Amino acid sequence: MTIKKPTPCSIYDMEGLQNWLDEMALQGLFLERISFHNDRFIFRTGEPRTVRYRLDPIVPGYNYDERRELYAQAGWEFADTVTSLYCVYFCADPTVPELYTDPQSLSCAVKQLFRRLLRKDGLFFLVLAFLTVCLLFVERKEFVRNLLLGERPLQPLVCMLLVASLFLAAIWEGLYLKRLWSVCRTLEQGLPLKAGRRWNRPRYLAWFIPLYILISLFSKLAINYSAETLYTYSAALLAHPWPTAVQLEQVDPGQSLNVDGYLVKNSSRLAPVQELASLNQLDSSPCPFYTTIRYVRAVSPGAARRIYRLERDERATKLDQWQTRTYYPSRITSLEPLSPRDWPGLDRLEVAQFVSGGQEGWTFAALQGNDVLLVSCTNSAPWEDCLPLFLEALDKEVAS
Amino acid sequence: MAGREKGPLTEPMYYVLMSFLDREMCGTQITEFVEKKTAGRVKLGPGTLYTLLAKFQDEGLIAEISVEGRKRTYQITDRGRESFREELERLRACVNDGLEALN
Repeated sequence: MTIKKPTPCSIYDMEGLQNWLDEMALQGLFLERISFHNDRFIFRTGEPRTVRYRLDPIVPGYNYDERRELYAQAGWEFADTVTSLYCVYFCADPTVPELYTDPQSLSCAVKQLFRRLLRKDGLFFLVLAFLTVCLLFVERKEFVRNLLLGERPLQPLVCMLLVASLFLAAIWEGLYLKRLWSVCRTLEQGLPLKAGRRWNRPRYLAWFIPLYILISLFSKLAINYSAETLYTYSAALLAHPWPTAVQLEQVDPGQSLNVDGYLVKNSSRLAPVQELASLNQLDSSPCPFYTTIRYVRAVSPGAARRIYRLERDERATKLDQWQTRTYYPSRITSLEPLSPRDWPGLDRLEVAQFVSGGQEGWTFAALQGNDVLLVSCTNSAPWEDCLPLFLEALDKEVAS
Repeated sequence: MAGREKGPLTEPMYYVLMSFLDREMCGTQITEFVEKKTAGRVKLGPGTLYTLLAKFQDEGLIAEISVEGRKRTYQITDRGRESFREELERLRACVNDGLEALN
C-alpha cells in the first residue's frame, strides 16, 4: 500500500527533510518516490524500523549509475531524486558509516550545488528579464497609449503586475538559495545542521494554485477590458460644435443626406478622447464619403505632445495600410504622407492627402496647447479652408 | 611546484591523499586503507570519499589513470605530493609546538 504526503518543509532544508524521512520510517512509511514537482512524497507501508535517509547533492558531472552502484557497495541504497537537487539514499544498517562522514566534504558538495543553481537560476532570470524588457520595448507605444488614453486601462496594470511578479519570484528564489548557502556555511564551520520550521499544510498548493488562478483570470479579464463607451450618431454629445457636412462643403444646402456614424468616448482622467465618425450618403451619389474627428484633451501640454506623437504615428500607419486594402471604397491611392506645415496659433500641424473611392481626401493632425485634433475627410473643401472651422469650434465648448 | 592553496586538509582529506603515496588506488581500496591505517578511528562515507576524489581531481592533486567498468583508478600528482608534504610540515610544527608547551 502507498501513502502520499505533502512536502513538510523547504526542499532546501536538508536536515529537516532527512529527519522527517527518518521519522516516517519509524512510523512504518518508507520512501518509494518523490513527485516531479517535489511537492509530494510517496511512501510504501511496512514494519516500523530505524532507517536512515540521507541527501546527496547533485553536483556538476554527477554520475548517477556509478554513484548508485558504489554507494550500494558501501551499504547505501538509492531511493529517488529530489528533482535536480539531491539523490536520496537510505540505509537500514546502523553499523554502516554515514553517507558523509566529514562535514567539510558535504559542505564542498553543497557549495557546488549552490553554484550550479545560482548559475541556472541567474541565467533563467536574466533571459526572462531580457525578454520582458524586449516585450515592453516593443509594446511601449501601446503601454503609454493605454496609460494616458485609458482605452484599455488595465493593460498597463497587468504588464506591471507581471514584471513585479517576475521580480518577486527572483527574490523568492534568492531567499531559498540564501538558505542553501547558510547550510553550506554551517557545514564549513563544522557545526551540526539545524532543521527548519515545518509547514502545517502543503504550502506550495495553498499559495501557488489560488494565486495562479487569480493572476491568470485577472490578466485575461483585464487585458480584454475596454473603458470606451459607444454612442449612436444621433445620441452623440460632442465636446465642441464641430463643423457640419454643409460647412465642410461636402454637400450643397438642400441636398438630401443620410448620415450614419458613431461616437466613442473613453474614461481616461489624463486624456479624455472623443472620436466621431460619420458616413455620409447622398441620394444623388452611389459613393459614400466620410468624416472622422478624433479629439483628445490632455491633462498637460507635455501629455498632449506625447499623445500627438502616438496618434500621428498611428494615423500614418493606418494611411499606409489603407493603400493596400482590397475593398475598393476604403482603399486610398495617390497618398502624400503626413508632412509638417506651419499654421498660426498651432504648436504642430501635419497634413496628408489622398484619393479614396475616386474622391479627394485629406487628414490633418494638429496640436494646440493641451488639445490634439485629428481629422480625416473625403469629398470636402481643401484642408486649408476646413482647418479654421475646426479651430474655431475648438474655442467653443458645448455645455454638457 | 606550489602545493594546495586552500587551507589545511581535514583528517579524511589527509588520509585519502596519504593513501595514494605508495601506489595508485580505487575507491574501495582507499576506504580499506584509511580504515586499516587509523584502526577504524577515521571512517569514510561513500559520499565523502567520492566528493573528495572529485575535489582533488579538480585541484590537480590526483589524476584518473584508468576506468574499468565502474572501477576508477587514480594516482597522486607532483602537486598532490607537494600538498601532502606541506600538510605534514604543518602538522609536525603543530605537534612540536604542543610538545614544547607541554615540557
